[in-house]
Amino acid sequence: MTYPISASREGLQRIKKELRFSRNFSPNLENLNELCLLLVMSFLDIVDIFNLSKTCKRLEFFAEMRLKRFSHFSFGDSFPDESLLNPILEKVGNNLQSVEIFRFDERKLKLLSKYCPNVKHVKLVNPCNIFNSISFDEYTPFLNKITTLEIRKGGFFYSNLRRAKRYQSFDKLLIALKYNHLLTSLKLEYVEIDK
Amino acid sequence: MSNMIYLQSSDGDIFETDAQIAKCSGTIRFMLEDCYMGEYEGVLIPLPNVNSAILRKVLKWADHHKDDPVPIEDDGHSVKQVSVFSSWDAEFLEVDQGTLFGLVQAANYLDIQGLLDVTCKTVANKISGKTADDIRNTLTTNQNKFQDFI
Repeated sequence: MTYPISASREGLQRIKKELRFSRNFSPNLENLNELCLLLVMSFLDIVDIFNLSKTCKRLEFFAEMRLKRFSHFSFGDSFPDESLLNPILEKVGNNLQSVEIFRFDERKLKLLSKYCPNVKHVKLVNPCNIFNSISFDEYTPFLNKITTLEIRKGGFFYSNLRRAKRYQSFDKLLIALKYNHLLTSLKLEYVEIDK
Repeated sequence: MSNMIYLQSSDGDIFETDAQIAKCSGTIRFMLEDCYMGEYEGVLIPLPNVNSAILRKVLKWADHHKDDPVPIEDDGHSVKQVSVFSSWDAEFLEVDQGTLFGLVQAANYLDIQGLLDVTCKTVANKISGKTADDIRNTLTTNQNKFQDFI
């Protein structure tokens, strides 16, 4: 198939014009070179980089490069949107070695055991009513790989239903950890309250 | 001893500056010391990738930071100096986005690590805490082009 020469020349000129435009007149986020982008990302946390990866193809490419280098993930109190946890873990889960999670519940445990097979260090802060209610049996493959486990403020939780403080026991968790031969450190913070 | 040299921007404007100040740029330092073998008084260095407005800002930054300690290299491993983000820098970088990204590119091309760090950090601050749509809306000057990439 042939095109008239004039048409292709016109097309070429348009491409050249665009190239010149993008080179000279729009110093822009997506026009930054690789080094600058990676440097910008070195100042960002996992959530920001995840958001960045959804803006355009080029940024997605570099954002994913950067995401692969995270080995620690903190799902803190200031985490903006709980619904982001699933897609983020899906992307970076394989690389994670250590996680820190606030308001731990069964949904999060499910996500962790699904996407993060290599996690060794787990720190849970203020876990919700999880230790009394669920059975840890189906999560034993995940639990058996943990080498350090720390639970803070785990002894009680506030029940929304009864608006009261309720206590939870770690018995089920400890039973589930019975076959974990890798565990080197276990810290449970159980807050004693005056009766 | 003051050695004045001349820098020519992409628009053709010529800036006179002290070689000591210009040497914060790795690119210029390399040219002066290796290409001119140290005898560089009055030489003209063309910088085809940097326009006048950006070059003026870069020189202003370099002048303010001329007394900063030089990053020390320790047995081949360059020690990454934590660049202090001074209030002067923050004020200096209160510019429109075109200028900010222009400064990032210029700092990269001229190899000025300190300026590259603070500008990239400023860009990161603008991204931080925003959703993908917000980033797309605020950090681009020509949105149609941006959309095409998606």
